Amino acid sequence: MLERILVPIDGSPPAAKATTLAIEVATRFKAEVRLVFVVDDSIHVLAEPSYVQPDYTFFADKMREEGEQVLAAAAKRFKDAGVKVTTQLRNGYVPAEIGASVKEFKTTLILMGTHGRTGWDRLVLGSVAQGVLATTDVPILLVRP
Amino acid sequence: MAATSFQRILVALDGSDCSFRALDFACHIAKQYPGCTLVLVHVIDQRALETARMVHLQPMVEEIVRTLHAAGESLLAEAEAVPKRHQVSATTHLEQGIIAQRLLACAKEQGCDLIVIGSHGRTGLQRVLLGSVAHAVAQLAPEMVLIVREGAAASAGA
Repeated sequence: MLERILVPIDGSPPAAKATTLAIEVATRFKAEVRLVFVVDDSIHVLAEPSYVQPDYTFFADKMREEGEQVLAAAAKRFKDAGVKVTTQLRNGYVPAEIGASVKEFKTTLILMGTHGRTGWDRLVLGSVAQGVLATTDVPILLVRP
Repeated sequence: MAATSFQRILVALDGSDCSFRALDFACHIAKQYPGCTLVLVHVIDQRALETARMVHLQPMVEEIVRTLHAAGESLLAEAEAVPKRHQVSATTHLEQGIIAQRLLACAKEQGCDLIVIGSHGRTGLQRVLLGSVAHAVAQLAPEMVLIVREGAAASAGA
């Protein structure tokens, strides 16, 4: 039930909290972990030259770079704890990409923060958490900020 | 690493298949956390009783309450057997009130660190992402919440 845990991360403090719990749970259950960072492609609205004149494509590059760093730093924490971990950087609409990743990894548990980097803390569930619920049937463990 | 993450796990039970899958999942977790206790809770829906009162069925309400209590007790007895099989300790709690509200209060009273709940219980629309109770709990609980999904059995087997 807990053999393959997927942890979506975005570099936010709640995601770090989810990471800490994931390390503990994965250690206990000898689970394999997949870390996913999705570069939100709504940035492409900005990158569309017909929309705004300056070229904002560097935003996406910057985010990919940051994603790689966030993934590497988090993966190191898992490796140091002796947990088998792989990482994946994806581009697109965040909940849909997480959903696709969940399927690909044959995930048995999603472990994530209720709220990440964007949105209102007071809002019901974060929009990404809600979106993930819409895209998969896998059990999901929600960690509070 | 703090070994205290899961010491008391609340499992919300309403008799639905999904809630029993949630119970299985909770047992699976508890087995890996020595000393972890399951807090099995069934809430009798106060709103259903209020409805009965409103439509002038007051004389019947007491009888309905008795019936629901008996049903709740037997549900909890059935549920209690599951952790027992896994050699996991459990307590049972029969409550009455607004379901999500009572679950949250119970989690607090019992000092739970995790709530395990089915995405869809016995009432409501199957097509919504989260049933109303799971949704309210996921929104409002200060504790961690694990949502076991309707249809999770099928996808786990796939």
